[in-house]
Amino acid sequence: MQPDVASLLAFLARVRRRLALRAAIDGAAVGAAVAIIFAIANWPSRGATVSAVAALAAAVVVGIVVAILVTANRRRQVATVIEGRVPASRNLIATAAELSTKEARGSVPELVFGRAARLVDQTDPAAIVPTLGAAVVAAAAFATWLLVAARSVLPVPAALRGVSTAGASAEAGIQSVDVTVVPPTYTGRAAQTLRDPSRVTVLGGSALSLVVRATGEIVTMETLAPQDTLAKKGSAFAGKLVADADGYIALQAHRGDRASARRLIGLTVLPDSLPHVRVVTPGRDERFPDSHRTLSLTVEANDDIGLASLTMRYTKVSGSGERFTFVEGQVPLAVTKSGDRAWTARATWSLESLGLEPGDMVVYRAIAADRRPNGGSAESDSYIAEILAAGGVAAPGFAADVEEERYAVSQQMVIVKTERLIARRATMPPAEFADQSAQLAAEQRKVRAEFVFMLGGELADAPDVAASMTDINEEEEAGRESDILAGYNANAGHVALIRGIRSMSRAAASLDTTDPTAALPHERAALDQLERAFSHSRILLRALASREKLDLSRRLTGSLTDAIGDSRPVAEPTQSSESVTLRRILSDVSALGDSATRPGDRVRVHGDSALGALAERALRVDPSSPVLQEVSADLARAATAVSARRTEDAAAGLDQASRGIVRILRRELPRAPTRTVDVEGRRMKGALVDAIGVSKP
Amino acid sequence: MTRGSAVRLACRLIAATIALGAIIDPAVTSARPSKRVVFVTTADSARDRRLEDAVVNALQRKFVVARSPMAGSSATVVVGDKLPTSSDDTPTPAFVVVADSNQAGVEIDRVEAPSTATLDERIPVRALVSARASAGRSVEVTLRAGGAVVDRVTSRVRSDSTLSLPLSFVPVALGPVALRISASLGGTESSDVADAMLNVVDKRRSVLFYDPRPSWMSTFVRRALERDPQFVVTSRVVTSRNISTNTGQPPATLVDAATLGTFDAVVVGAPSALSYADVGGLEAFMRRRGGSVIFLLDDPAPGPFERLTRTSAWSSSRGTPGVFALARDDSTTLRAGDVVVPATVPAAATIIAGGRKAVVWENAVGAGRLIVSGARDAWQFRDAGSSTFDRFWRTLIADAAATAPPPLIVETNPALAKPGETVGLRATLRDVALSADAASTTGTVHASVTATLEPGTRVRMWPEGNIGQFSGVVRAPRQPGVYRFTVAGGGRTAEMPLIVSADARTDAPVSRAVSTAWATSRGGRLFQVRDIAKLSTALDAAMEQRSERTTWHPFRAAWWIVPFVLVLSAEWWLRRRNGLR
Repeated sequence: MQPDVASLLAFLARVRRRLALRAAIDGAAVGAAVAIIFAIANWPSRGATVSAVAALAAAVVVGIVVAILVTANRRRQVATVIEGRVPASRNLIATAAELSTKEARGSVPELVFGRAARLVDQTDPAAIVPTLGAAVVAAAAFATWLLVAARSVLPVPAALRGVSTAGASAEAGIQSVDVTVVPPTYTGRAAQTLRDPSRVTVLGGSALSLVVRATGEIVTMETLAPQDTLAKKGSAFAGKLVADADGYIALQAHRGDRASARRLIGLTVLPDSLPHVRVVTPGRDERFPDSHRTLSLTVEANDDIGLASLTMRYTKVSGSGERFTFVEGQVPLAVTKSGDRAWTARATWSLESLGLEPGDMVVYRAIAADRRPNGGSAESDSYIAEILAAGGVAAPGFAADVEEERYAVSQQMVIVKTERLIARRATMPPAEFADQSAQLAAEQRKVRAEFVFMLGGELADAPDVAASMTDINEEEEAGRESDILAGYNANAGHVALIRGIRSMSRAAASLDTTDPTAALPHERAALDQLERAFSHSRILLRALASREKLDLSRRLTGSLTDAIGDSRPVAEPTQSSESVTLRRILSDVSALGDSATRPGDRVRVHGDSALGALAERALRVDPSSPVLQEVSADLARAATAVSARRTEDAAAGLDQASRGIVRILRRELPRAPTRTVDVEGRRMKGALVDAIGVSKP
Repeated sequence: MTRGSAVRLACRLIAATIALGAIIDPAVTSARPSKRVVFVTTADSARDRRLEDAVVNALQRKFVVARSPMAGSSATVVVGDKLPTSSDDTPTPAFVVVADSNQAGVEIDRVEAPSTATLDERIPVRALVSARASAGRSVEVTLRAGGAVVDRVTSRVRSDSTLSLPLSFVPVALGPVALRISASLGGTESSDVADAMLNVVDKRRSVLFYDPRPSWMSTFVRRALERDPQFVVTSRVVTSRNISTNTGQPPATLVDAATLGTFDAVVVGAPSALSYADVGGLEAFMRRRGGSVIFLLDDPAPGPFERLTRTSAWSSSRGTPGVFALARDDSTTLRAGDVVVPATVPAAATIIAGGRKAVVWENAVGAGRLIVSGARDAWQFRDAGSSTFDRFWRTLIADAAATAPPPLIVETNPALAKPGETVGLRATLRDVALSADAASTTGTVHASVTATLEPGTRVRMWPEGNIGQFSGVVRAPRQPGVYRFTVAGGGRTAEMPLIVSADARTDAPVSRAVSTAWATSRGGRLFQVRDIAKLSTALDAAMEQRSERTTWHPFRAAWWIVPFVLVLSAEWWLRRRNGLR
């Protein structure tokens, strides 16, 4: 073959190859564009990387193949393409190409070949068929596909994610939740923001602000309180609440009659604890022969957030019997503050300054308050410094409860405190007034208990283990009232004591209902009766009656003319509502456990929303229970796993939740008997016992 | 003919013969040794699959291995620790192959769980698990009900031993529940599964409190039970002559056996005040009804009740209150300072609480139980801080009431069966079975029982050796599901569920000794998997060599092509060597 012809043919081949490359690049770009459309439409599956890449690869390959096939004819007429791109050729290359196919010989063809060869030597195939632009376009298409396919993990607006926020056919859903926690001002703590929390632990009284990004028309917020609707602000929904008790926040987006899955956020509220305060020194009761004494006092106080004050109060008690006088005061303390949360105070207290006489005592205690606006204060143990009288012991007639407050309480003191409480009523918040009234009622009951035990009486049966030993059975006491009226108790001192005890009961009942004004007359009546009782020292001895034994031989010997039997219905025990609810939740978890972990969109949708509802129900039973909080979290995790088709994680979450619920129910239910019914075995044993018939040594 | 040509001719003749033989394909009948069939089976294919495959691989070269019963099987190899329940499908000799004893493994020996319970109880389930070569590993036992995990216990193995692991189940609905207990050994693939069936019924235990005179102890025990939903409490407190305080519809006296028989347990406060007639009624309640009676002593005075307690000498003590724990649950306690105990413990009596002191004890009276409590002032220490007074009495009386047999007792074995498995049914007529105790003269007893496996399979019930007991067998339905036995007899009807499941696991493993004895009795041996190479030889020796006349085609073997090609090739070579074409 002539060199010129070879050169021409080689040039034509290079151009042909570039045309094929260009077609492939164009085909790949078109394929990438098609893949972009697929990715926008979330085809073949949403969020599945492998499927998306496979779809891209397939589209690109198809595009390349189609492009090459479509441009095949063009490559066959490559000389025409070159003529179109190289005007200087003037049909030279086309002629040479045609001649080369016919094996032409002669001077003319040689001339044509020669000139064509010189022309192609000067021509660059890249200039005839540029591919750079096409490659840039293809690269841009690939980059665009990449962005579209990965948009679910990128912080792009929801509109670019292929989910229309305004379209009527779009599903309602919650994308993210921001919770900003603002602690109470007095704590001095900074606010913090949490993104998509599963549980929020806050201090009591904190303000929570929620910003919910969701697709939907409205977003509802449900807590233990009634449901609320969040206000729409731009593309988000906002709401506020104050955290004052354990519970939960359930958010749900709605569009028309469609609702999204509920987003459950557990809420744990930590109460602001009361301060701890104690009297370190002397730390015990002191008894002195005279009042020329000095007490070195050391007090320690701490609080979880911050202390506001630390003081020492005292009550000087003078007198005896029921004729006591009380003077209150405050001991000046030198307070050393090592930070906001721990304080120390010292004082050197001269008892002589109080003017104590033999037989007098002073009861003192430290009081610490934290920074809560409505005052959270705590008292230390109370201690006594007593000036002993000759041969004296602790004065009688006081209720000295060693388990609780160790200061002397008498009926006279109860009256004084009641009068003071009534006087301060106008300046006190109702909650504090009620609390103080309840404390006075407890003190009244303690005094009453002393006299009841003095009489050798017993309190009525109190099946409620939470009931105090000083609780009274009003019906029983009312029944005994008739005994007094009937004159059965001929002992006047005894009668006076009983009447005094009755009056104390009425006073305590009035104080319990936050009515100290009504209680005061009963308290004074009780004091009057006590003074009458103790003025009869001889009768006092008879008042200390011992319990009598029943004489069984006298039983069934009386007249039964007016006696009748009694018939009562069978007692129906009350079921614990919590147990019933938890059992239902356990049953639903077991039923869902099988269906929710099976594949299938329909089951998946029902499974995750049902599990979310169960998580909420579990938390509603007792939001403060750590076990139920964990159960709720497990169910919420299982719901998330079901919707993401992670069946193993869903099964594990359901198992954890089941075991948590069973752990709670196990504590409340009695153990089932395990013995089996074995008639024959028991017959044999009975026959053996009958045959033996003797006692073993 | 030269030598070469003769050789060539011979080659051609041989090739022709082979070709002719292949064309004619003659059939030859002769006695030949046949490959014997060995049946390889396992009771737990899921667990012992690998072991089974190893056995099959070891045997299939020498034997024909069948994995299902096959007519003509000459031997059986049982794989695993569970033996077949029926000998019908196990031709002899029979060998057993088990896992190596030095290979770490875990097995569930037994599952203890009540067969019936109520909705207001937690069900104790105990799994007895054997761990082998597993020192230092952990055993995890999981309890599932209806597929959901309800409890899980993990225990560390110190040495080869049997672990007793307690689990709990809380029923959530009435009806039969399939419980599955699975055990796995940490760090290995060894695991085991066992199933049990629990029937949750809507039944409250009926208890009668009878106080011939008011009693503190009885009052507070009664209140403890009244607050518990598992009991229905009826009471009668005789406060004076012909005057009583009743709760519900109690019998007027304890002599009325028919009314008394409707209760599961009778609690008597102040038993010293019982009359002879009352005591007779209680004795009949125990002997003929199988019921339980609880005496709450509060007075050491003698009385007719001592005929039932079988002791008339008592020893009282009053001092510092002591704590007495239930013998089988030391967390359930009673506190008392004033205690009366029998001077000598009656024969065969069992102490329930008090340790070595018979503070609360029981004895058998016929088929019934008599429980006697001498903790006279325990009611004074009933607050939760002093003792578990309420729980003590609820546990004790629930146990006593649970053991009182119902009028018609129905049992199935197993309660959970595979499709087609044989299920045994037993029915006991309580009144008939216990009537023999009260009968003073011999006679005949007439009774009949009918049983149906719903929807309509009649089960023939045959009387057993014991009076009042009947038994029958039936095949479990092919279709898995929950079925119900309905049994009628003595004017009563009782039902018992049957769960049919394809993967039911109710067979308990047997010890190596039992497996060895089983195999030996069938002309075989027990092999561990490390000796599996010897199994084939042992089978060969144990099985009879069989030869049978069979027709065979000698020329159907493909190997004939080799000599055919060889002789033709030789003939061609010889021809070419001799210069022939």
